[in-house]
Amino acid sequence: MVQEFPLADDMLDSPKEKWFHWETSTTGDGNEVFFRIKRSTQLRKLMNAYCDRQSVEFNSIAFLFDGRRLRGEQTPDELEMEDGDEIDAMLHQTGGSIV
Amino acid sequence: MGALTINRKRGNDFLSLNSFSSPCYSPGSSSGTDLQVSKKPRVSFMQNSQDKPVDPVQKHNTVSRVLRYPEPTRRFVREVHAPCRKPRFSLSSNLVRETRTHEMGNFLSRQLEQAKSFALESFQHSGNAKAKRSKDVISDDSSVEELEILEDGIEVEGRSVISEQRSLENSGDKYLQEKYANFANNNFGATSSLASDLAKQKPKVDETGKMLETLSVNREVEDMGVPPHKRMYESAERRNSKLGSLAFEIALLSKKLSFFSRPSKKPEEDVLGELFTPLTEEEKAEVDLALSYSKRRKVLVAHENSNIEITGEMLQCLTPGAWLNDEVINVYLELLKEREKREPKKFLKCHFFNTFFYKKLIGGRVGYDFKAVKRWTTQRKLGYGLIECDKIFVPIHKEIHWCLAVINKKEQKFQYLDSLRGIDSQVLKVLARYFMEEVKDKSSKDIDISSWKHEYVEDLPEQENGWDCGMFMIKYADFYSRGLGLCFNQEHMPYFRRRTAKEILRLKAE
Repeated sequence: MVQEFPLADDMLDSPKEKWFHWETSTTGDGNEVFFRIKRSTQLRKLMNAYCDRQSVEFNSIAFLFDGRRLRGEQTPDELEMEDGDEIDAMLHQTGGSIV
Repeated sequence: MGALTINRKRGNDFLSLNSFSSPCYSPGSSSGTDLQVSKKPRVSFMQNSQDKPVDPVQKHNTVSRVLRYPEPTRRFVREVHAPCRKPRFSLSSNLVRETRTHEMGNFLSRQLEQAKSFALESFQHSGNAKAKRSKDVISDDSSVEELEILEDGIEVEGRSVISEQRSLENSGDKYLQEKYANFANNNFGATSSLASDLAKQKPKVDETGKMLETLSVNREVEDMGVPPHKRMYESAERRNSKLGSLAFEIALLSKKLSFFSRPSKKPEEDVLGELFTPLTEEEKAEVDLALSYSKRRKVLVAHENSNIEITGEMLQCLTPGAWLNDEVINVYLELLKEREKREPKKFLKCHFFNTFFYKKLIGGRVGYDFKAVKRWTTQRKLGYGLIECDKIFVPIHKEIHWCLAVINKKEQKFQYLDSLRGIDSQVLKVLARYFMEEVKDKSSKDIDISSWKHEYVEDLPEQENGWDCGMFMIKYADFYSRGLGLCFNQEHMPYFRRRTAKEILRLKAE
């Protein structure tokens, strides 16, 4: 299932548009969500939008780009992201024993 | 070396001269040296009032000096011919003793007497025996024999080693003796380097000559009737500096030796101590405060490289009985990597994947998705390639349990460590496939891992409760990255929890 959620105000600036490909392997259903934002927009906006859509708590998700954690203040420019790059949204893990 | 060679030859002359009986010292003797000896007024030289200026070369030439004063040296003739192989190196033993007792006035005079006779003997030895008996002399001692065989050029150095060793034995210094025994057992690499260090000892033989010079001079003074105790005291004083430097050399060499014998034991002890260093009161207080309820909402530390912020709430998973979360584990693994970068010699070259890696790797529809993690390990991101690493650690999260998988390139095997002795063959198969593909992708090389063992480590510390698996997992990684065995158990977990909390708060793993 693929959902597309363009963020309205970012859609207005077309030349520097940015598409992100999101995959939530956390739920195991291969949910993919697409967003587009400006290259200079902080990723926090995108993260919040994702959590809203997925109805998950912001603190329960770790966002990774190529294996590295993302901070909300970072921007696509700063991370040298390219069109179609993927951000992984991973559910936090915990464990102590079996059963 | 050249000066020494001359000494040797002259020494022989001198000895043969000594063996003559007194009537041979006639002015008309055939030998040129004999002529010189008998002509030279020995007293005038001592008092520096002679009309002939002393040849600067001769002044330092022991043999010529001795030759000028045959009579006092005749006193030692008997000793020279005595079968006295054993004490021939005793000069240095006396020196050692003298360094300790040089303050004792009365004792000194007796020592001086002995030193003189021994000095002459040893000088005789260095002159005579070197040419003829060097081989069998040296075979007395196995360590030096080794030197002899391997480096013909350092005969003299070898000799000084012997005398050094003998002197130490004689002085009964057990510790040094032991060290020297170690030295004998050392391999040649250490021995030869030590030998080259000992090259500084070379002057010792010359020194012996100089010593003899002063000794024979003193004898002259005694004969002249100048207050002997004063002269002796002065000459002893003069030698103090020499003795001091010798003592220093001995100390230096023994230190060097202890350095050579140490590496086998010491570091391990240090490391073991380091593994279980108790927290100081200050650190305990720091950890307690950080784990307190009031700090729950506060960001305690932010790890910049990994962009992970640790709040009080997250760190509370390190209180006893709590389950470890991914944030704490990931930060700690980052710290382990930083530790290795800080001290690359002390730790194995490792890569620590975060807790999400394995989940991404098996996230695809077919249960294996290399592309999903392909960009995680580029040279640009890591600064190194996985192929260069000795060990690659992969935390495995199984619903509510933590395990560890290791791609052990150093020992060519894949390892799986579960503190509850679980077995998951899927993990190692996936990692084997991943590693092959990763190496091919990043360095376009084919690596043959078909012979690599898949090991489910059985001899490991086991978890005995329902909450410590995360702690066991990161400690497996900690100890393995040091190249150590897993020498801890359940009892250490409360300590490890506090220690980990401290290390995270300080953002520095020890």
